[in-house]
Amino acid sequence: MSARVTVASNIHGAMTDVRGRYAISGSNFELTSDGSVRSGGPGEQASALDLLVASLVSCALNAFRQDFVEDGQPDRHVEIFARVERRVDGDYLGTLILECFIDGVDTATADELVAEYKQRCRIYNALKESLPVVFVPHTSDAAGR
Amino acid sequence: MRQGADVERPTRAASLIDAAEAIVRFDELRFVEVAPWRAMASGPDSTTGSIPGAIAASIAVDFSGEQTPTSGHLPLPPAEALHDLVRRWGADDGRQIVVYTRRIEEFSSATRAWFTLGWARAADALILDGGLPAWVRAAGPIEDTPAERADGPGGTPASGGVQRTGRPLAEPSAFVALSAAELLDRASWGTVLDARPADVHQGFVDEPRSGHVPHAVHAPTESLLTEDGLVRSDIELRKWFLARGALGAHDVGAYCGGGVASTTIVFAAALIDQPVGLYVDSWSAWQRDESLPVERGTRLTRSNLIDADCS
Repeated sequence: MSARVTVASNIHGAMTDVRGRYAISGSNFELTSDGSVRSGGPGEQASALDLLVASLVSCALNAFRQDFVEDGQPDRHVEIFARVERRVDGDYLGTLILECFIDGVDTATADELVAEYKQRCRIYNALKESLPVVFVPHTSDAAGR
Repeated sequence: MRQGADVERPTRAASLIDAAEAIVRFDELRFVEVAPWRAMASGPDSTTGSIPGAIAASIAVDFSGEQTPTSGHLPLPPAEALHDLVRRWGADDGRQIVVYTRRIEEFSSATRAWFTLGWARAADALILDGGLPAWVRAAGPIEDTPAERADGPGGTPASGGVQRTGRPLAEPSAFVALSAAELLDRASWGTVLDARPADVHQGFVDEPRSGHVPHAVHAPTESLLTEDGLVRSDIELRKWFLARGALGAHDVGAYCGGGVASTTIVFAAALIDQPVGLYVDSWSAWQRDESLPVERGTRLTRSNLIDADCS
């Protein structure tokens, strides 16, 4: 393995004029993130947990859009609804449930897409022990009345 | 993913029947035409007559009880009254009850009837998808005379909890009526859906008790139905509830003005196996109780009882 190092992500975090609200920026984007009301922040914009979930959603959208799509074929349309469920008295992060609506695939293909994602996504593999992820795919052959 | 797999919850096939199937099964079914408690559709009714043999019922007379100083304006009737009603309809002949409305705008009256009958464990009613207009489009038979009420003496009392068709009624936990305290708890720890129009949900500056239950999600029910008044597919319903944070293992509740429109939310959720409790008294009671909190505006707020912190 080469000893050379590169930078995979570069983020800047800064305070804003609003207590508990932060500007999170990269080279070509800026996000706003809030501390919770419990911690003294506004609790309106994306929380730290929201951003963590968003990272997995973004990666899954990108994977399901194109994995196993044959050359020359259009990308798939994918929509994901994600939630973190936790017991009310739990002191752990929770379980992440990703409900994935993937157009144009059958159940078997959806399962293959999920398996491929779990194998390849570095973020998923870094987090999976502390944030279990449950995939709930919804596909063409299971859809309808 | 839901717990309690031993509880028999309503499913699409057990709760909704399309017009084509209802026509084929006509002799096995008992049709009940439910009139709304107030005018909900504009313009003349395009259909004259009714489904042959249909029984007339109404939200105001049959599916609402007497108001009290603390109730909403359409409280639930006593459960015994629903059992008596079903007996008057001739429930002991084994035919399954199908409730429907004349106009698609009145669909919530059918879901209110469905909920009330299920809550009282009086009957597992089906709802005719698309109502009378769908029946007419499917070339179902129509007789010229209007549906009539069945206010004669009751028949043989039904055996407890079981319709003569032999199918057990859904467990009471599938039809949950919430108190104000229970709704507030769900708003704090789960998700509460408000089915009222946007302006009343938002509230008015000059009306202190206008607005919504704190943290309630605005969820008008029109988008649960197609333009033809048909219930949307399971996939579309699932997306609807997911988009509003109302699908999952957490507690979900629904309310409206008087406990009618929000039954459409409860019904649609039941089709995809998502329990939703109904605050029957709804805003008509909440507004009057000065001890209950009111929130105004359109911005969705999060309960700070929920620890969503990462540390």
